[in-house]
Amino acid sequence: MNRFRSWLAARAFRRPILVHAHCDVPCGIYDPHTAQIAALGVVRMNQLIAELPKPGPQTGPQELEAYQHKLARYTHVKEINAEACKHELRIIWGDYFTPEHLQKFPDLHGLFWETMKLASKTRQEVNLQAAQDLLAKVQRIAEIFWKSKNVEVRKQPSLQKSGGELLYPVPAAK
Amino acid sequence: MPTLRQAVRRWFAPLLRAPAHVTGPSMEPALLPGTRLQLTSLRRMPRRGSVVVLEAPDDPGRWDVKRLIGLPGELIEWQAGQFSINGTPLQEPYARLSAQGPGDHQESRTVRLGPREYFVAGDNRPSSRDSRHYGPVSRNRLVAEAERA
Repeated sequence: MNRFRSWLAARAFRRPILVHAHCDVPCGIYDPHTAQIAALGVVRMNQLIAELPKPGPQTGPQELEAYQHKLARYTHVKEINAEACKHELRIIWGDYFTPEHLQKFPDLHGLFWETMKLASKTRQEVNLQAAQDLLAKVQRIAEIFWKSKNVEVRKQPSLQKSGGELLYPVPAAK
Repeated sequence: MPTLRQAVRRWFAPLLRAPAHVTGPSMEPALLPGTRLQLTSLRRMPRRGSVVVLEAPDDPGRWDVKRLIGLPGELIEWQAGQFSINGTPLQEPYARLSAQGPGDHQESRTVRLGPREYFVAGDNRPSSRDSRHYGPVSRNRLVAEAERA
């Protein structure tokens, strides 16, 4: 029955149905926090890859398979996080910032460009330093973002296994 | 009024466990754009926290994927993307919250659901258009439940 249903579904729905996870929020809400979390994810995956015991001549086939599987997973998640970071940055860069912001923060385009390149580098390489640089750049963007709204920021420990810090907006005292 | 094609698709898609493909970021981090799903028939009483596919209230020809937050008859409150059900905060390990969530600009942050109404929201609260904007969704707009393929 299940095989028949699968066959019928494959015939009837040759192309998957698109289901929309819409984000067209009409009230102009942007937040660089998600980009920071994604960058922190890239840092963590680099750490996990570095901590993975490397196989040697004595490694058995099962251990080798386990190593390859873990390495593939960590690399895959690193890719996803780096791409998610770029996606979030694209939204802030393209949708939030305006020419008026550029006058106030003249290095904005250069900063975004460098950050996007760095995010690509973290996809191409296993490079913890690049990942940490990416996090620092994203935090610089977050700082500019909140400054453009005249909001102070503070850094505090991420309290995640990756260590490091995250940057948060500080609500003005009433 | 749905076309015959839309009606047939709506009827058969969950029945045949049709494949689906996520587009857009509002269900991140659980469902990234490109995630493949399989549609399944709705339970008689859909469960809170399940992922559902629904007809978009602003465009019935489009299907949205969201998470079920509120069930019929419940009192839903939200602030900065955090929900409470009948006064009890909802624990949502899957949600990506933000200091300021969409919908905070709206005056009303509390809604009592009717007998056949559901409250849906995207996991990526800062970047989701959902019941916080278009209000509760009636049962007849829910098309299917979805699970990872």
